Amino acid sequence: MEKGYLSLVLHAHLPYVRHPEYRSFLEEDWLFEAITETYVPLIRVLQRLTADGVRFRLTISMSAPLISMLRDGLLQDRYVEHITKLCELTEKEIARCRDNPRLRGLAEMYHGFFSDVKRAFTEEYGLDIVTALRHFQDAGRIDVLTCGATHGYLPLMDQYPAAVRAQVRLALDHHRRTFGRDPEGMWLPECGFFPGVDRYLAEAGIRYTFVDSHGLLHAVPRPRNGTYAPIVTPAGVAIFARDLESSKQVWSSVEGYPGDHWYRDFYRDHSYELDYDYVRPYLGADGFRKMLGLKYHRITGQTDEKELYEPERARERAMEHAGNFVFNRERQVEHLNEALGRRPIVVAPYDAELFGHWWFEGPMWLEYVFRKIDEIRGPLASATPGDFLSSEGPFQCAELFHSSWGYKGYSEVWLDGSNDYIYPHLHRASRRMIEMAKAHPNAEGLRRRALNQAARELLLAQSSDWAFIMKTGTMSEYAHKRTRDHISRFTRLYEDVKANRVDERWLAEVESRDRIFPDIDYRIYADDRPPAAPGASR
Amino acid sequence: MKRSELSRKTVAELRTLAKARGLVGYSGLRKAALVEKLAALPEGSPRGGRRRAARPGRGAAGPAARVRAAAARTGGGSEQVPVPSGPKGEQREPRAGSGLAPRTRRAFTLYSLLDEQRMQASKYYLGGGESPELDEGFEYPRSYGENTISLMVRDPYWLFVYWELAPDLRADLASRLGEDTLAKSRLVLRVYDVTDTDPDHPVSFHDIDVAPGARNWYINVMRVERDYCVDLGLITPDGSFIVIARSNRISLPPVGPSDIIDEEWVTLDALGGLFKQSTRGPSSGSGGWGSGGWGR
Repeated sequence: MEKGYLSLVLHAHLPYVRHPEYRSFLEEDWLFEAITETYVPLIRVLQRLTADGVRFRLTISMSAPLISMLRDGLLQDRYVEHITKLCELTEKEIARCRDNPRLRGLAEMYHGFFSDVKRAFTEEYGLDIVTALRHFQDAGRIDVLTCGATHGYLPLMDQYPAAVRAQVRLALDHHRRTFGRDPEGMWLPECGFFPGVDRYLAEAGIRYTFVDSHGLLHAVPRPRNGTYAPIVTPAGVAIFARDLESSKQVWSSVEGYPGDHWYRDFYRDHSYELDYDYVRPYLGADGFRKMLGLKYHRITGQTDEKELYEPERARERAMEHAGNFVFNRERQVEHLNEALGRRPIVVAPYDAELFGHWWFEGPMWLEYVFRKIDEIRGPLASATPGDFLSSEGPFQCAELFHSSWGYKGYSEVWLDGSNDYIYPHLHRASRRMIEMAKAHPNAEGLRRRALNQAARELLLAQSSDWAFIMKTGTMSEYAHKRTRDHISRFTRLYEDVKANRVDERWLAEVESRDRIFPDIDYRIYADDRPPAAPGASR
Repeated sequence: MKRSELSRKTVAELRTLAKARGLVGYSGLRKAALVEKLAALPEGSPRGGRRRAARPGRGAAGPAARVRAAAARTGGGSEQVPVPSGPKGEQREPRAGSGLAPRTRRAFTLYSLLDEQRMQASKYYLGGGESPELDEGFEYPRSYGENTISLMVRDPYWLFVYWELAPDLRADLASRLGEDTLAKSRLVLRVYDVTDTDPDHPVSFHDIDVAPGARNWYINVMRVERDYCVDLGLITPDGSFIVIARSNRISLPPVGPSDIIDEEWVTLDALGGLFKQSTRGPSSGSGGWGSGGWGR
């Protein structure tokens, strides 16, 4: 009989990046690299576990922008082109490295890896990662959750109920259409909780969500079971919290597994050391050097003198780390079971893109974790939060306040000197969207199209990715630009609708670029009342 | 290049070409104008050399954006490591921010961050430059024409407030107060503690003088775990306070675990998916919370 549960949660999201107006566009690589290194390898893991009859339960949240991109014909075609080039490049690499057996072996490894990904993507999955994943949902192996519609950081839009509601409702509708059922839970973008956000979730029929550890530990009254059981808010939504110990083992560079010296180095890309002419065909139209995925080195240590990667050693390490992780979780749940007098849940949420992209061996580690748990069948079982809610209880009632899983635990990542200038404009756009939706309760034709597009532009501007990127400095120019572009398009639509002079040609161009949420109905913004206060007493 | 040749290209291609040829101020141009500009260039005119070559004021987000762009170009002051490149090809290789070897970028961009944020940022890291611009020539409005003030929670200790003054505010105040009084008045943020009350009957308040031209402020609160509201207003020489705009109110989150340990428990109705109120839960002693919580 199990003594407690491990709930692994992978949050998959990328901002909506799609530029049909360019032949190639660097930031589209965010998606392409994630498909190659994260999404396909994760599906491969699910396939292998299923084929071997391993019992496992995994939770994956998928954002609407990511789903939309994965299902977009243009991006799918571009991805096939992208992965085909990588197959070609690694084939050339095998020939180039013929006199160096170790390098050649690595080139062969990548060639095999990329070829397998290409085969899976084009032949097995028919270009559709989402359907491939859905298969595992329908087979009862994974629970798929939704997220904010464009990953808007909700605590910084809480003054505009219609904006928060649109982020929640549109995500839900999109999810339902994609996965054929309502999601039980929703991942709050960046785990951004503010008092009352649970009411929007309850209103939409969402049963549970997640916060970072301190978000739950600081709840009132003090949760008796710490982060090892969900609490239920006055609105009736269950809140699970991230477990500190298990996240540290993966996230921390000191104690964390991904920093192991045998693992592949993320930054060292051999293509930078190759002749420009040799790599040029594999670069974008702009001809600038970028990572091509020829990562031949291992982390080695705090040094720039990197040793060559040894796949077998890395695999062994992944297996050891998985064993260590499972062992620690077993001891943890045994101890907690005794201390609490009930079965605890240890919630371990991670960015999905951490696995495979940053931590190349991550998917392998995940596979070993599930295999190990199933092999032992001891005190630990994997479960989704939904499983836990159905089989355990009762749950303590408590009220939660602001928190996020960002640096320092609140909103500073998305609100500091690097990005605070965007909020007056985002807020004004929300106000204007509400104003327009109220002014035009039944718009038709061109005006309706313009209003729907205005809603899309507002939503795209709200992606938390932009503020995050502005803050961290990686590709920040693009993030500033995207925010400005969406506010720009929104503003023009607002003025044109107001003056009743919508330019059909221009609108069609904007529609063809920012195509997310094809079925959007702008009238969602007409209701700007906060959700009703819950009937339940505190 | 000939005009006819240029005319066959798309606007996007022309812009890329314009950028490569070092043209500035092309982003807002229509196709015909772009063709003209490009056709007028002598053959083989030197390329801009850098990707984010000086955009004129229009289209740039302002001085801050230019500083950022400059920082991106120079690698933020860290030493530049030239790209190793072959004997051939070197001539044609674009050089810019993206020309920095990954090692330099890494030191500059990512190592200053916390582990977790660094790993999260890695999904946006491509080791290259940035994509071409699709500049639409838009500038954020300086003002939306209203007196407004908006208050946000940054963390348990800090508030963020931004505001905007309507263009006619100054004239309006001058006619109400007189030029002389207005000149001697101070623009302040009045921060009210409104816990269990309202701004007209605050628990306490304090004023922060704001510099002319400031449009936002981070406020370090006097007391944590309280509710706040902020007025933007003028203090006249005789000490009276004239409100220009009043913010929304916010509640700060707690800084630690609650002292309240009353427990109430609910069970889940598996059929309806609804939570039902239940009686008091398992034994209500607070054992286990003594020191430092569980599991350590």
